[in-house]
Amino acid sequence: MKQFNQPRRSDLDGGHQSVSGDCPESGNQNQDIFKAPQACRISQRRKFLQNSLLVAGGLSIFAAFQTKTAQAADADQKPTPLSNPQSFADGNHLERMRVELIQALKKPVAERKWVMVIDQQKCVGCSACTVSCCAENNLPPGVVYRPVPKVETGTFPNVSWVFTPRPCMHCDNPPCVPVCPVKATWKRKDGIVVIDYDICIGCRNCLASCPYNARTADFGEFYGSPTPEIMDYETRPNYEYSEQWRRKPGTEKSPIGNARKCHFCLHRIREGMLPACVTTCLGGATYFGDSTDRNSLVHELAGSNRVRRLKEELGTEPSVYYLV
Amino acid sequence: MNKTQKTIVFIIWLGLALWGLYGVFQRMSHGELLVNYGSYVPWGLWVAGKIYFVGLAIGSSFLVWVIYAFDVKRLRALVRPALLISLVTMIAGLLVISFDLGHMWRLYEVFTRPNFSSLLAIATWLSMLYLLYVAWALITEIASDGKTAGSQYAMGWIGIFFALMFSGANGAEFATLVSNPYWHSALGPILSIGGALLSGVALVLAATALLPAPSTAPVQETLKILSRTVVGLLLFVLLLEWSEYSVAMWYGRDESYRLMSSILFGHYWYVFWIFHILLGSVAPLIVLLWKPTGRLAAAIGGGLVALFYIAVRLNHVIPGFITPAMKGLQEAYTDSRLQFEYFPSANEWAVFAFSVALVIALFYIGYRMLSILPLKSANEGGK
Repeated sequence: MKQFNQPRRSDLDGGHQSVSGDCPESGNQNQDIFKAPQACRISQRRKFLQNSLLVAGGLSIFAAFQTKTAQAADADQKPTPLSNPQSFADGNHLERMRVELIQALKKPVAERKWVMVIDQQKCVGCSACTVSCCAENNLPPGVVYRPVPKVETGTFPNVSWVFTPRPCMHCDNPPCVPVCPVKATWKRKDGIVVIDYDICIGCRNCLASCPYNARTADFGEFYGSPTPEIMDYETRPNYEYSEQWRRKPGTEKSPIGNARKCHFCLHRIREGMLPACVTTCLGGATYFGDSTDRNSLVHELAGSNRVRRLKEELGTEPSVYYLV
Repeated sequence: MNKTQKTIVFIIWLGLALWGLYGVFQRMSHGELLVNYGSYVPWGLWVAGKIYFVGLAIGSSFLVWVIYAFDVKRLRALVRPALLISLVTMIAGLLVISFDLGHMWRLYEVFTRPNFSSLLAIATWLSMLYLLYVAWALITEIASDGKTAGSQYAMGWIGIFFALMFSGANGAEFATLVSNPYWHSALGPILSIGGALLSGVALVLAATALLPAPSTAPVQETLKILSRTVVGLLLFVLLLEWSEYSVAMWYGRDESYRLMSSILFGHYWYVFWIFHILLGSVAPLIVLLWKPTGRLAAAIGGGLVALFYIAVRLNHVIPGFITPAMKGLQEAYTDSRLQFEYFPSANEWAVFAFSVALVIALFYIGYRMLSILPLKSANEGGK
């Protein structure tokens, strides 16, 4: 058995002299490192640390390389038609809807039809969609695109809640469009009812004609108006209809003075993103997509026998379906 | 009127005008921040004011068209004041509705890029055309120096058709909104026409009684004819209202019943019972039937009907908005603009007061400038 020498004082004090040559091979099964002489243990520890650093560094470089490669792959990725929509059957419906949305964007505008499906059995009434909508569109006081009415049903002890998130219905036969005296609102070929803020005269005739109370008017108010200073976040622009709209206190610059409403986050759709209310729905209750795609999730859901639409008797043909 | 009465009237008018000017200044400087209407009750006093003034304009001029078309010589002297009333009330109507717009300086777009499927656009165009037509009629009337010209016969018939179409369009503007069971009624345009004729003729009656004229037999006859016309129109309008309310409320089950009940017995019950029924209908009926030829009675009766017809207009506009489209909507997202109730703000009243003061001022200026003496030629005889 090979004997270890006693370490020199200088090694213990942090001397840089190597003692590795005096140590047994790590593969030596007969040698217990914890029983080894002090100098050898220090040497082994250093070696272990060096190796660990090398491995960690290598892994980091590899990971960085992998990430970059993955990002490059994402950037170059062109969504391909889903040959098997059931591949999303594991529950990642957001990703499925996102891919379907990108697919739909490749089609001409007139060949796609955006619809929303809201599962009332899944909605928990958290109003996260309302909040995200307000944040996405930087909505001022009194303007709301997607409130969530909560109605208690039944009598005690058999009571329950019904939550009915209410975006704009984007009706196929919208009562708000023909009443506009200046053609400031119209239905796009893809089904979204939009408003041109630069044309709207603010007569609120569309508000009066909407059977869902889905339009609100911007009266130029600010949350901070009773205080000495309007906070910066209130004067930041929003990007509705892919334009920059900056509200300024004390002015009547659009969208102040206009009718406003949900537009299915058209500015996000154009960028291949789902509407804000869809991505933030805690219960996964809101679905969005192109109903002309027969393989799409919304097409599938809209075919359910649980489907109903609000005030169908008026003949407005809403593009928002509720699963009851 | 003696000097004291004139001074009192002037002070009242001045108060109205100053208050109104302040309101207009506030509206121009603060935008719509000081109004009480919101997104769930998007129309308020100013929209009611617009249909009120436009109704007065149509009704007062309709009298002229009838005089022209049927050559009613006994009422020939009413033509100028009636046309002047029509002109100034139409101006007030257009003005008050422009204050109601979120972007009032974009009103021109209704003429540059109109959407003729919109009854609001049609009504705005008709308002402007009607204003021009009335102005043209007034100029023609002044040029003819009170004599009936051949062209006025045609003008009368065109005017009758125009007034009925315009008034009907104003009613249809609300009645065609299928989403609202309160307005969506075939009686809407008819009620609009009836209301316009009633309020307009009543205002002409009050003006005829108040304007200086000798208290001779032809004056009394004119007042009698106008008083009877107002009474007849009032009964006709009340009959239409009875039909509207009784049909909606008889079995008391649907949404219309709840809306009508809120008008009759809700927070603002007094608008219907006190202003419309008592002061705007019963009191004038009693006064006009009791003394149809008296100038004071005509002034009070006609004035009450014309003045309190604003209550009918308010009850036509606002109750249409007080029911949420969905249960729970009012509590879903709360804000002062997201309420299903409404009472006009001080600023709204002030702007409305400005419109009233403007009507009075324009009429007075027109009356003085155009030397309109309503009953000067009333003793010409004829029909």
